Amino acid sequence: RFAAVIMRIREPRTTALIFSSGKMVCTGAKSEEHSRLAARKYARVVQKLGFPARFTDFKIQNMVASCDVCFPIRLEGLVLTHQQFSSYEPELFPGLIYRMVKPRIVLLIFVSGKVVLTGAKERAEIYDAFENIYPILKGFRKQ
Amino acid sequence: MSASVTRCPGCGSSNIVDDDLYCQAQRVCVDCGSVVSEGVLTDDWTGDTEISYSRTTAVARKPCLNLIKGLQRVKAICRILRVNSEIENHSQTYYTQAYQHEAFIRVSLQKKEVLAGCCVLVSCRLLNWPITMGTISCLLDADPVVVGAVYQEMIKILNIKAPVFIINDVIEAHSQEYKISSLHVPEELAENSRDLTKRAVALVELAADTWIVTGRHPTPIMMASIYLSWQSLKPNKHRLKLTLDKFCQMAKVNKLKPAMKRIAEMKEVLCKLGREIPWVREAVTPDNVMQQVEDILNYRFALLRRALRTHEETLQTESEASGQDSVPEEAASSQVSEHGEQNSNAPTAEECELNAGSVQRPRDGNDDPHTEPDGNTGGGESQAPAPNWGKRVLFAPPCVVHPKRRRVERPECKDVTGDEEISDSEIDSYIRTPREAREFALTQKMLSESEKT
Repeated sequence: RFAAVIMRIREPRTTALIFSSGKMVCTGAKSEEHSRLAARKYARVVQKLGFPARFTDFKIQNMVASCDVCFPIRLEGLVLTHQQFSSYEPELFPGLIYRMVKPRIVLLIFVSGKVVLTGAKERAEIYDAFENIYPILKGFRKQ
Repeated sequence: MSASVTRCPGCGSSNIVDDDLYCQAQRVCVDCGSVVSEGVLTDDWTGDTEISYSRTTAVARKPCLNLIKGLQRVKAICRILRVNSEIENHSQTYYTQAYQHEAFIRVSLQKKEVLAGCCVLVSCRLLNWPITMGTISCLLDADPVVVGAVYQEMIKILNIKAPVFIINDVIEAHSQEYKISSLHVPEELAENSRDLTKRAVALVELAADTWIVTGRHPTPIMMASIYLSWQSLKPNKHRLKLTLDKFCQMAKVNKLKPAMKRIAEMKEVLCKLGREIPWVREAVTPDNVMQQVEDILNYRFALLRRALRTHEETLQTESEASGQDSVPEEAASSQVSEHGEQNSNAPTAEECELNAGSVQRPRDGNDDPHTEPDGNTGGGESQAPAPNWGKRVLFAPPCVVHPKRRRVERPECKDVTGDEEISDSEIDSYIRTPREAREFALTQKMLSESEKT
């Protein structure tokens, strides 16, 4: 059982969880602006249904980004040299989980060279995290 | 409260202690229990330490029964695995520490049993005893996902820096499970365990070099390498015809479905190297490559270098023929080069970055259905699917060579400010009319009634 209404709109293609307290979580948008627009649309729907809703305290809580460095990565080597930040258990998950300290971002690094970055509150944190990880990954391109 | 009373008025004993368990300070005779003197009663919270029920009523604290049972279980697991006493002691220490932590003290008994297995696993890893998580899951008859979750939580709360699992260390232990010695199977199918393991280790090393191992579950790879090792040690018709299914039945192990794919991948790599052997005249195919495995493994470094050079030369020739000059340099940069092989035509890193970042790269001749249409540099920048770099190199991770088909992302309008006007008609399209709402409620009611009947 889940104590929220799940609502979806087509444009921007997003999903919202609306709680009885009036709090709402909007997920699936492709940018901060899309997320704000979608959240306003959900608020408008709730208003039209007759509730005295207002749109306040909009805040980006989490941003997820993905990229491809276009070269394969030796995850076994990376986990050895960056053990304090990395967790690589191929029996559980094919990617390496890298917990960067500054900025505080979690990266999922795969052998294909694809990288997923998550946990950012601002776009700049994603870019900083990628700037930090790229030279490390390049180091594991040629041994 | 009189501090000067040194003898109990009841029994005359001088064994008087201060009892500060309660909010009223008292002096109590230990021998007869009489209260010798007491302080002022108070109903105010004086800021004394919190006194728990168990502390006030405990006479002698007994160790938790479940902790004792858990430690016995740890011992039993260690005995089954036949690990040494150092690992057993470490496991018990970790179990005691983890058990008493708030993250595990109130979990179910089943989870505590899984915790016991995880403590053994981490001790084995720390003391270089090769063992897989799958073995522990099997011993505990537990879901590997649950074992993995408990393991990761445990190493986090105990702050353990466990070494990473290395497949080469485990394969020797894994190969002991296969009952294919002369005691178990007929002589023509039997194989010496030492030779089998040695060949399997070499095959796994080759697989690791050629991107087959990284990111994959290790057990199917080990199974594939043992099967191929067994076939190649005596590559006669009988062995080559025996399928993996039959081999697993004979060796009394459970077949793993992904092992079939690993066998195909490893055979492909062996074929690529087999083609470089100078004294082999006939074409090397997956059907006849087993005869060449011994030579391939003995000379694998040289064959790898030759194969990479040949591939590079082929690409250069192709690019010269088609008038392009950027492809072969990028291809050479992604090659296997773990053993000190240096490509003299290796590009600079900047060239590779430029090539990787570019969306103007020429497409392959055919529309390859396996090429995923994802944008590496942004979803809406190019309508053409990004060329697959994995197909241009000799060895690449199979997930790159054969990528999954992805849903094509719809190009969304980019210049959105978030403060646009929202039209009423659009919002109305999301709201049901009263008639629709009634019909929906009625249909739901009918459906739920039909489900009940």
